[in-house]
Amino acid sequence: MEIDERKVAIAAAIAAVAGILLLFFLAETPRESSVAESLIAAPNTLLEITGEAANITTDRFQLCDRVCISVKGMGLPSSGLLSGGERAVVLGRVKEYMGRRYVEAEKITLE
Amino acid sequence: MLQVLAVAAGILLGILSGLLPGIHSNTIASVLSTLPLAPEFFTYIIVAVLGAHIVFSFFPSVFLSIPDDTVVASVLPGHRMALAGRGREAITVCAMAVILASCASALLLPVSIALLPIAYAAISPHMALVLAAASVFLLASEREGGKIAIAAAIFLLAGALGVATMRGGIVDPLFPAFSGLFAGSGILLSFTSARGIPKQKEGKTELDFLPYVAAGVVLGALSDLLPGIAAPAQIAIFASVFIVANDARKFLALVASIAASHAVFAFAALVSIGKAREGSLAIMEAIKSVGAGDLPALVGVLLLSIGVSAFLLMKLSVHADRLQKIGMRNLNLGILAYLVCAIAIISGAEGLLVFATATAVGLLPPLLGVRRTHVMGLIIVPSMLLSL
Repeated sequence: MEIDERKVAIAAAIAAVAGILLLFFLAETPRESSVAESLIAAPNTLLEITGEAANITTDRFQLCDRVCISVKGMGLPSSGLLSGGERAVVLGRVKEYMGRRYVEAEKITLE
Repeated sequence: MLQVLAVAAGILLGILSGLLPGIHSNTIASVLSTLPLAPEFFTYIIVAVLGAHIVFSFFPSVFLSIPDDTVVASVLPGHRMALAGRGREAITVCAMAVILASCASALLLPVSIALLPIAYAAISPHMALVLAAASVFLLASEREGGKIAIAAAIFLLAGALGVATMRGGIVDPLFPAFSGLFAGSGILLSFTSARGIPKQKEGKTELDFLPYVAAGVVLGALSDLLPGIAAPAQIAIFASVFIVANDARKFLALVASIAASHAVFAFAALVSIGKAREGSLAIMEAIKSVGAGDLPALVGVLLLSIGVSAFLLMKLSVHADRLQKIGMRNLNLGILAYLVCAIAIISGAEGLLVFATATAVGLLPPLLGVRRTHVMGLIIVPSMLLSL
């Protein structure tokens, strides 16, 4: 089979589309994680973190096991039911501001 | 004495990070922030790293075609000059432009502190529109209908790659992405030709690029208004549509000036609008709060670092001929091996996937006969979405 520039370009375009789709899939697949792991995860990683809620304020709370991470997302419906000491599973992305990690919650489930 | 030591250490670290693609000045700042250093020592070291990194990142960009995210626009004209035996001249232009632009920007710093908040308030609500309009001009520069359609498809493909990359939890995502778009694809294509880096001529050049340095200073200040994804590179690409730079030297002067003035005006942005437009400055601000009173000393350290680094870069470029002895094929294989190892260590398996995908995207413009700048959709599209 003869290979010319056109065929290489088509192969490159197919590889590019496949790579992009795979990257989107990986970006939207949550990984189960402990609070400690979330503190060292790369920013933007989608995680499912289990821990105990503490220090609940109007806009955030701390999710703790042996260590704690701040969770933002108190506008979510389930966050209104949250009380201190309760176990929760937080689905969210790790964010970093001024060197400090926090989780931007997309879903909070009470255990 | 402590300050001198900090500046010297910063310059050495900046040279290292500039010469080794993948090690960003932000990475150095991030590592240093974990060490028990006195805040003042830390501040000086970070600023010196920033200056030296900007200057030395032109070396891999020009001679090896491996771009840093700030000076990515320099990779194509710079490497073209190196392939024509004019790499040392390209380095002279970049070093001179960085020195001139950083000094001019330092003089304009008081004005920018007053004007940046006004300009930021005026532009920030319309940022997405500004980026969209500039992108349309970028695509329209192809002039033929068919080529515009191909360029738009490549721009969107690169944009989708940018969004997918930024959305995932990948450490330093721009490193594998830019390395694939420019170095990876360039190396694959180079295996089809026997062209190597020829003997480099002397680095003498005419100082006829001052208007481009002046334009770079203004555009560098503007880049500090943009959201943070490689803003100097975006500004340089957009500028290439509007500013006619008919030889590679002038375009390099423009890119180098934008990078230098972006770094200087980043201090003004930090003090006046509270936005740290350089990752390393954000880390510095977290350790020691920076006020207007600190600016003379910090900008002085930056200028000193740029001056010393530019001198050392010129000395290093004299030895660029040694690259010729390695042979282009071996050099390319070495670069490819280095990139794969560095990406695997820094960004992991997902980083390698980004590198492979970006290499595939980077192959498309030369194969389909459109300009390679359209792959900058990688940073422009996510910036547009971020501004909505």
